[in-house]
Amino acid sequence: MKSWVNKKTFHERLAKSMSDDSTHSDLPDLQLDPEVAQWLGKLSLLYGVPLEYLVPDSRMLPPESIRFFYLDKNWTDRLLDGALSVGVLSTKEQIFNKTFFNKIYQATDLAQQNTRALIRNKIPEVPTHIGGTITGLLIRSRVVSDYPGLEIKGTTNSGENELKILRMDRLSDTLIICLFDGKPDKVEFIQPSEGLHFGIPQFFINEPNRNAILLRGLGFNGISGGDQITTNDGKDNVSVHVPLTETAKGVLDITQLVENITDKFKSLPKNPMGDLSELGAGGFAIQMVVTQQIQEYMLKTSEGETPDDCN
Amino acid sequence: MANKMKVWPGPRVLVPMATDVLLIGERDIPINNGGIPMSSTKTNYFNLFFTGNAESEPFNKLSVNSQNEFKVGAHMMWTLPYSLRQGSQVKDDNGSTTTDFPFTPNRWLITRFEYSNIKNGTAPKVISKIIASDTLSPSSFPPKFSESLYPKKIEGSQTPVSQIGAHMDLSDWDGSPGTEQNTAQIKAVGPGVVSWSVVYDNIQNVYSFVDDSLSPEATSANPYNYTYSIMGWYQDPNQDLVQKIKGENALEFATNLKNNLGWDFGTDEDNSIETAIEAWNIWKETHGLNGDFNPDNLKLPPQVKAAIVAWHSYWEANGEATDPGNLAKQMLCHSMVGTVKWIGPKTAYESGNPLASKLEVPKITVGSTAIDAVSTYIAKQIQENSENGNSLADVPVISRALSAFQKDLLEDYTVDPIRVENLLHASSFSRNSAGTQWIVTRLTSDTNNQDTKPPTTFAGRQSIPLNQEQTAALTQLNGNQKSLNAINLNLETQRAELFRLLYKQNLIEGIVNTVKVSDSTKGAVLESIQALTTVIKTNHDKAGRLVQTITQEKTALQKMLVDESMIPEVDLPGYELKEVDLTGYSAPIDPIIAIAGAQLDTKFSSAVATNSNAPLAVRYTGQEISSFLVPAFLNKPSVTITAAELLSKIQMPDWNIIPKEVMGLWIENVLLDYSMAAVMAIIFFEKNQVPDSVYNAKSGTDRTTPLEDLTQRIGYRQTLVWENADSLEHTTQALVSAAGFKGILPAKAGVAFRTKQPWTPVFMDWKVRWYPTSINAVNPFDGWSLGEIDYVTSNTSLEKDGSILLWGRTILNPNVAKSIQNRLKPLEDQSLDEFPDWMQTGLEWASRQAGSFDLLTQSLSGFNEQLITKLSAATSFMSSGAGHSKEQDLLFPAMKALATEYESYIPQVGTTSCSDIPENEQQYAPIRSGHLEIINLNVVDGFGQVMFGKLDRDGGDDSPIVNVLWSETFYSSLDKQINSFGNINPRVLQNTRVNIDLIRADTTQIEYTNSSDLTSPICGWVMANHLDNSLMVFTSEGTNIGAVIKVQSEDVESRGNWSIRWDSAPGLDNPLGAPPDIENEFLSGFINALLQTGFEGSLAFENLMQAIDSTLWTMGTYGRQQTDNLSLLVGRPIAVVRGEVSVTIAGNPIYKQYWCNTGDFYNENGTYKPQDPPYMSISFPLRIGDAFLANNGILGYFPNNKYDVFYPVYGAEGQTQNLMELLRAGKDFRFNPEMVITGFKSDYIKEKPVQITTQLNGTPTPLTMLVDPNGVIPVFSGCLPCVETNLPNGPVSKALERLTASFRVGPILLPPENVQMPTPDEVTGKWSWKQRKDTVSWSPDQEVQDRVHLGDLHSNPLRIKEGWLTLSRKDKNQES
Repeated sequence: MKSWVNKKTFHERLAKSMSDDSTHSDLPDLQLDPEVAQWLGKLSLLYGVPLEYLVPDSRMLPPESIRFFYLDKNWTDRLLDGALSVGVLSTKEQIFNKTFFNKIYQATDLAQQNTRALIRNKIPEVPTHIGGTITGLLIRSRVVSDYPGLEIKGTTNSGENELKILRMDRLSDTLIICLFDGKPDKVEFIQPSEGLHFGIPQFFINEPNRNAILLRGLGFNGISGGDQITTNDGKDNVSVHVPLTETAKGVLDITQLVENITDKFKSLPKNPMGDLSELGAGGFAIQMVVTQQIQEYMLKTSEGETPDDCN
Repeated sequence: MANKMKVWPGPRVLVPMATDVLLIGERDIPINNGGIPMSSTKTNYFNLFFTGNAESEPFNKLSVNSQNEFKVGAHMMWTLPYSLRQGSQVKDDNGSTTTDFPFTPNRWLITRFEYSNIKNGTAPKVISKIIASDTLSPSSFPPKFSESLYPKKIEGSQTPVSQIGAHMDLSDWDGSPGTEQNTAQIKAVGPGVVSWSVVYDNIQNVYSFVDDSLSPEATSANPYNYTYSIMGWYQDPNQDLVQKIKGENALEFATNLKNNLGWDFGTDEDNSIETAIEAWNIWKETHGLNGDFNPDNLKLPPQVKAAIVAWHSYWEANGEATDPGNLAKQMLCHSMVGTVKWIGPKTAYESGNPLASKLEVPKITVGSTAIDAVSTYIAKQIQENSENGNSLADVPVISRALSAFQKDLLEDYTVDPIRVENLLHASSFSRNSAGTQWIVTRLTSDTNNQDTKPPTTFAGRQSIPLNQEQTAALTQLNGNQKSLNAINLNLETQRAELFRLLYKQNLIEGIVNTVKVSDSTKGAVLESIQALTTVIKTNHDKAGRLVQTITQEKTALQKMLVDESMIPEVDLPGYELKEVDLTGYSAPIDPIIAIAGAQLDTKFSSAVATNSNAPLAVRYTGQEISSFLVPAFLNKPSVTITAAELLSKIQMPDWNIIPKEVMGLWIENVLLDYSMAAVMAIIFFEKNQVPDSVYNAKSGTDRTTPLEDLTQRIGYRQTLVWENADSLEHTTQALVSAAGFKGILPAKAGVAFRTKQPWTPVFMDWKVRWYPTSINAVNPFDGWSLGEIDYVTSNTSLEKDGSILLWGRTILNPNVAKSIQNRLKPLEDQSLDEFPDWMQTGLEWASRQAGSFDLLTQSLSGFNEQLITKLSAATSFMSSGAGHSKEQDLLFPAMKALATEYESYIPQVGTTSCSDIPENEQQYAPIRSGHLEIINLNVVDGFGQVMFGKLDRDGGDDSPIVNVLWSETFYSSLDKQINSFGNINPRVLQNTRVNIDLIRADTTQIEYTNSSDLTSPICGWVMANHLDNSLMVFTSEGTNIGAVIKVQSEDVESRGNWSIRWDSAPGLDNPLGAPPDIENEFLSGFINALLQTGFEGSLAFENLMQAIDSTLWTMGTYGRQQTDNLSLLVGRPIAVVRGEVSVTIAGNPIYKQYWCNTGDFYNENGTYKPQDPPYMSISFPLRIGDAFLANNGILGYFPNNKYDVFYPVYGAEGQTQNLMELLRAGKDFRFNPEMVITGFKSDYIKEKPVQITTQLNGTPTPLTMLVDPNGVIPVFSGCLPCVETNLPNGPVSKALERLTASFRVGPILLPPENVQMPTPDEVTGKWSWKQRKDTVSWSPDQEVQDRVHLGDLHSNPLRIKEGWLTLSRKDKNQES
């Protein structure tokens, strides 16, 4: 009386059914548990990986520095392998992993695309591709702490194609990691778009002697409120110098600035102040408001070549 | 007066029952070989007093040559309602459980309605007889056919056996009960015979009656129709079962009636207990029983009035003058058989055997269980009816699926087939008690005191941390209980042996005949009786003392278990001592026969068994059918025919000592009777004043008369009520009303309109030829090997040497097959998606056909017993031998030693001549094995009619039936599915058990484990560390002590060679290269022997790991114990467990019962000196574990405390060796079949077959086992059911709590000041870092800090370190 189980061929049949040989097409579809796939997806985006495994020595990422990098898929796949080695109690599970690892990687790549949306409670878009090159950057700077809502944008094709951000995380007060789905030509760091503030436009910031603001209309004499005031048929912006006090570094001399603005307005052919005798708080505020600023990093020259320091 | 039967003034429960009528004409009488083939079914109690068996012999041919004995006429036999035939288990004063059967009605009123011409409307003539079932009278010797026997001596009789049953004319009966000595207390079972009441020959004039006064004038051209009414009640109302039905109110009464007897009034408006009582109250009023009885006020037809007046007179004289109330205290069984068509005496009515006229025989299937036999038959039907062309190979597969389904194991069929196979295999054994043992469990907090906190230590894991004193007391208690169990089993077998000896003594000293045996045999019988009497007394006394000791020890231990001074506070309120049953002993059941085509009869089944929705419908006094409405006809208005109209035509018997309901039931019978249709038609015409010249005038194209037309219409209406109401989408009562009846219709079971001769299979006579593998079981396993489930043999031919014929008569059971069929129906609702299409189709077909299979099953009852020289018999032990013996001083104590326990089997004594008995005679096979031919199988019905299993054309008396279908247990190859013979696999024919006992590990003594954690059998733990390619070793408490690790040779010249070495656990101060320091002897034996193999390389180690690996393939992944994730990260912790395996029989061995062997192996001149018979030393194999069983926990073992060879578990043949090497090498894995190989290269691993040998004498084989605590340790023998045990929870939990795994880690970047790394979120254990300070010492352990702040960059440079990462389950809280 024989058993239902063919004991002589059991191991062979099981190994064969799991193995990646000619019967590959018969392999059942691997339905990786969504939570497991999501966990693996996050792991492949380096969630949970200590920073020192990426930057073994702090001197490799000094303060106020930025490092661009490629994510080595070999390395992340081994990371997944390590995670998948849990529960491997016999060669059966090993063969399973050997057989299904590609499918697991695929499921992970797919989950990788959805990770950021899910973290942000957004509905993930259907990815157009998976498993492509992943690049990223680490920025260690005061900018990170000074601009909590700092935005990063990676683009290709001269800014026409924006790359999907797979991960952007503040790892510490001064450290951000950002991973792109692809390799960008240009990376832009953008001040938080949600905040208006008083300030001096960034393009002058490195030229102390050229502290200046560009003047805006106040709604009089045909110049709409907030419109940039230009001369020469719109070719030149009208600006005034922004004076600083002599006693405290970096402190504006407000009185002098108001005078400068008022004088400048009055000197124009059409006085933007109209019949006003004084600039007033509102008029002053309109002049001082600045929007977010953008800092670009070109990873390719205009000729399409990668700058040396980006290699 | 007081001695007369009491009549009951209250309501009765009217209980329907079935009656069969067998018509016998002169040409049917079985004279020699003529007439209907019949077999005597009489229990001949005279045989008890001679030398034989009282029960009827198989294959006997009834041959009567006198019409006085076998009467021409109508033989009627009624079947008692199921509840009256059903026994219930009760405990007697001694605590023994016996089956008690209720008394049955013993007064029966038989009324015959004779219709000499049913067409012309002649009213029936009515006569009645009374049967006094319990009457005993002197019997003839030898008894005549017409005499039924009862083993009770009556006054003035010379014999201890009487004739039972009497009949008389109704008018001759005066209600006297008979004397106590001359009456029997009758039950459905006769003394020692369970089939007593269902076979005609035992119950003539008890539950049967022959009407031999049928008209001699009837012919086929002018047949007479007879209708019989049978009503029964109790002479003594105290015996009435309804008397015992209690109820505070009507509803409670009805509920109890339903629950206790399976009888129901119904619950709807048409019929319920309320409507029943309402009917009774109306009846009571119309019959004048409501208040003062005044006949003048009765508005009843004269005959009815006369009857109730006569009854009332008798009641006043003999009844109890109490208010009966509205709840019935008595029952009235009733039955009606109509249309008994009699065509005169000079003819043949022929047999009721449905196959007789077709010259066919039933189909025979043999299975190891009833389910197996029925499943095999149905599987074969599926194969034969398959449109897809199922092959022979599909039959066993489908059969197993059907069997699995029957046992609710279908889902396991695909998940864990080995378990299903084991359970199916086990079902072919009976289980018998092995005694008890004592266990300790925790008291829960609410057991004694709700305020007490629940225990917290290892809570929920059932650890029992008893202290030394408590443990010792428990061990002592169980030791004594074990001794008591053994003595009780010995006593049981010794008493059985003594019974057989006394039976032999009876034969020697028989009352009438004596068996002549030699003086030496006589002496041996007496000496053996003396020896056994003495030892039984000794054992009895010992048992008594042990019971006392156990009681004292139990009391003392119970105190200790709740003594707060002995129990840690966290474990309060303490523990509880419980006595639990041990795993029972097993004995094989006889092969089972399923007979198809013998025509099932469900009359013996309970109502519930035949119709799953309905219990037996009963009624109440007053609910009888009381009138019938003849519809308008020939423009004449309808006429209601009531008792008044009927009794104007029919004269009913006139008597007073009968239940008051009789007249009403007679009226009902007449109204329901088709034979009455013409009479009722004439009443219609007369009521409407239609002259007979009109209603007898022929007219129309059919030339029929109005009488004929109306008769037909009435007949149609009478028939209508028996239609299936459900199929007509009406209630039965709606049909009753539509048909024109008034009243509640009796259940169909109680009304029959006879169309053919009855056929009710009761017995199976079997004759088989047994071909033993070895004569007298000298070498029963010769040619047999233990296969995957059971034994297999390559021997496919029959050796005539030693073959013997065996035969028996057993009672057929329709319920088993019926129940199996009923269970098949829901198969349609089962998800069968897991099965191949062809199998799904087949199973669905079987489900649809379930109701149509005509199957009866029965075992070859007595087959096994005959092989061990025992015969089934009526076992009322006759002590007369002792009474006559001059050896009274010896025999009376022996009778006393027997106590009340009598065996069901008498000895097969064989020939009395003891000299020169040929080897193949008087055979004895305590271990059976061989082959079996079915020589013949006859089915015998309740009347004794025979259905032959073999026709004359099929060969002579001793040639086998050639086309028997065998279940897969019985054949070796598919082409033998239908064959003349089958295999009988080796089985031990007495109660036997495989024992797998766990032994305390911390001592070299043999001390069996019990509930206390201190008796743990765990010697230590090992864990295969796949990361390090090592085998980690732990103490029994989970402390890491080191690892056997595979290393490359350090010798430059031999670099590339691998070996193994011992590495002490990280943190231990053992010098490098030091041998393992393992305290436990058994763990040490294992590890040191393994390390010894290192001198020859690492092959043994690798093979060990491979053997374990291939076993792990089939195991369920994670189990109850491993919620700690340790096994997820590293591997399974494997316990090294100490145990032993043995096989023991219950009590004494089976002794050969032949005269010549009396006292063999225990009698030494009257002294009890037991020796094991030779068969006790026959070796046979045991298999420990099965790698393919899903919950198998054992990975391998070392027998006999020798550790130089490892026995892998069955099925683990190193199949994954190559795979393991390839995977470890990290090469691309592309599977090809050559990768899976079997066989081990190292001698360290035992090659297949992996089994050990054992004997029945209980010699244990010590084992040191490697066991995964999640699984069980199963032991297979093939010839016994698989047994299994598992590890105790307490020690396992405790060790797993402490188990610390270590991994070599490095190089790894770590901060200089501490150890920081990410650790798994879900692991609840503690991670630590161990690191050598230098070559001889260790740095202090460092706790691993989880890297939470992942963005920190260390200001100090990180350092590369190497060390051991350790993981233990214990968290900080537990550690403190």
